Amino acid sequence: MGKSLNRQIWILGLVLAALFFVGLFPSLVTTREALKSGYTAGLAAPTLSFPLGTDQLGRDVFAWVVNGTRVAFTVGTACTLISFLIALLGMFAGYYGGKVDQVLMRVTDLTMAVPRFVLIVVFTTLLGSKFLNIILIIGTLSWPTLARIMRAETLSLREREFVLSARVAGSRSPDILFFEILPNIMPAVIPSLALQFSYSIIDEIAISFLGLGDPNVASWGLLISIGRQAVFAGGWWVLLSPCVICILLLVCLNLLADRLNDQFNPKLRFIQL
Amino acid sequence: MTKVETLLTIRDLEIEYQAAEARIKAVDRVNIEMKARECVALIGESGSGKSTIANALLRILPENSAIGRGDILFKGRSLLSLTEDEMRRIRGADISMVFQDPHSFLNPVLRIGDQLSETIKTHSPGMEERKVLEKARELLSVVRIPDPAQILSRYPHQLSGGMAQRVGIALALSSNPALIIADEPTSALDLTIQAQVLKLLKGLRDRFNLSILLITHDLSLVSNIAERVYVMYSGQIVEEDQVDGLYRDPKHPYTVMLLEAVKKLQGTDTSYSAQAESREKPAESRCRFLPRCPQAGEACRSKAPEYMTFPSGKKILCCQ
Repeated sequence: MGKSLNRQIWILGLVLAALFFVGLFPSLVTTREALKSGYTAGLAAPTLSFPLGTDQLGRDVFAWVVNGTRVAFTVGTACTLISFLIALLGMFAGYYGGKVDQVLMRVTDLTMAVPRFVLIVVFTTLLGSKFLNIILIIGTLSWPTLARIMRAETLSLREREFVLSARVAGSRSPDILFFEILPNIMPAVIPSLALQFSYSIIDEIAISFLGLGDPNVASWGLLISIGRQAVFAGGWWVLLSPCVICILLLVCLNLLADRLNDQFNPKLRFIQL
Repeated sequence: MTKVETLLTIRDLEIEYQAAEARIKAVDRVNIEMKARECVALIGESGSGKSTIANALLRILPENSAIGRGDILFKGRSLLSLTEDEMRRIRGADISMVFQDPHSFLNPVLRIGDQLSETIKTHSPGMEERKVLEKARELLSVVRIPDPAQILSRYPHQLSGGMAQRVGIALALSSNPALIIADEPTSALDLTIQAQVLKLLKGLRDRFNLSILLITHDLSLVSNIAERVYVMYSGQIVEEDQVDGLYRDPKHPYTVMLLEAVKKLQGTDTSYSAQAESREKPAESRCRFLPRCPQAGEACRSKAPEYMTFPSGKKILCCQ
C-alpha cells in the first residue's frame, strides 16, 4: 500500500512538474503572444498552425492557455507563500498563549465568518484589479485555516519533552519555535498548503471570469468568459481548451494534497493497511 | 587545593503545588550542598519531590507551582532572583540536564547532527559551521559512540535506547557545564546498558571536572558513582551522609527499610517485614514517615521531628 501511495505521489508530481515547466518557459512551447489580436480575421477552428484555434478577435487560444499556466502558478505560489507567512502567527499564538492567542483567534473567527469569495470581490473592486493587488488580496484572505492548524499543532508540541530539553539547553524562544516546533508541524501543514495552492488559483480564475481581473494578464478565467460567448458562434474550442487545462491542474493539485495527507498522517496510514 | 569551593547551595527550599483544591507541599525545608567536582545522589520514591528540586534548579517548574521560601545559590549567585533572560544564559551553559527517556527528549524530525550543532551554536554564536560539526563529532566520540560521523546523519528513532541516552549526555555536555543534573538517567535502559552509561558518566566527571546531581530511586546506582547521598521522603530530606556511611550504618528508619528492601530483592534475606503504605495522613507538624515507621514511639506522636547530626557528619530527621 505504502509503495503504491508513493507511486501516485510521484505520478501527480510529474504531471504538475510538466505544467510548471510550461509555465516557467512558455516561449519554448509557443512563439505567439497570448493577448495579441489579429492572428486570424475572427473566430477560426483549430488547424495545424493554430492547434487550439483562435477567438473572435483572432487571438491564439493555444498561446493564451500556455501563458495562463504561468499566471496560475504565479498566483498559486505567491498566495500560498503569503498565507503561510501570515499563518505563522498561529504558531506564535499557540506557543505563547494568553492574550496574543485570544486576539489572533478572534481575528481568524472574524475572517472565517464572512465568505472568502465575497471579501475577495469586495476588495478587488475597492483596490482596483491590478494583478499584484489580486494576489495580495487572495493571499491575505486565505490564512485563517492554516493558522488554526499551526496553532493546534503547536499547542500539543509545546508540551513535548524535546521542547523542554531545548529550553533546558538554553535555547531562546524564537529558536525553539523555528527549529524545534516548525519542522514538527510541517507534515500537518504541507497538505493544506497544496490545497491552498489550488484554492488560490480557483479564486483568481473566478475573479477573472467575472471580469474583475487584470485585463492585461492572460488568465484562464478571462479566456473562459470569452469562450462562453464564442460558443454561441460555434467556437466551442475557445471554451473547452481553458476548461480542460484548469481541470487537469486543479484535479492533480487536489489529488496530490490528498495523497500527501495520507502519507503524512500516520493514523490514516495504519487504517489503509 | 586548600579549599573546595561550594558550587551549589539549596537553602530551606519550599515548593508548593496548587492542586484542584489543596496546596501540596512537594518540597519542604530542603537543604542541599554540593561542592565542585562532587557527585551527589538524591534518592527517594516516586512523588518524594526529587524531580521537583531538579526543575526548580533550572527554573522550569510548571505554572501551578510556587517557590514559597528558601533560596538556591549557584556559584554564590541566587538563581531565584535572576531574570528569565539571565536564567536562560545559565541553562545549558552552567547547568544542564540528562533526562530519563532520551527518545522523547530528542526532536523526532531532526537529525542528531542538526540537534547537536544547534545547541553548540546557541552557546558559541558565530562559530564556523565546519568547527561546529567537528565539535559535534568530538562530543559523540567522548560519549563513546562508535562511528560518530554516521550517527550525526541519523534520526532519533533509528537509535537504540543506550545510543540515544549517550546522545542526550553529549547534548548536555555540548556547552561545557559545571553541573549536570541527571534525572533518572538509566531508568529507561536495560541493565547492561545502565552499567555502561554509569561508567560513562563517571569517566566524564573526572575528565571534565563536572559535578553531577544524580536523581534516582535506584540504590545500586548510588553506591557506584555518588560520594554523598541525600535520602528524600515525602518532600523532606530524612537522611544525609557519605555513601559508605549510609550503607554501613543507616540511621533513619526509612533508609533502613529501603536498604533491607534491596537485600530482599537480591535474595540475601527472605524474611518478610514490609510495612504496608498507610493512607492515614499524619498531622502537619508531625513526622511524615510516622504511619509507615516500624520504630515509631510515643515521642513521635507528640512532637515534631528535628535534624540530628552525628559525629560522622551524618544528619537525620527523626524524633528518636
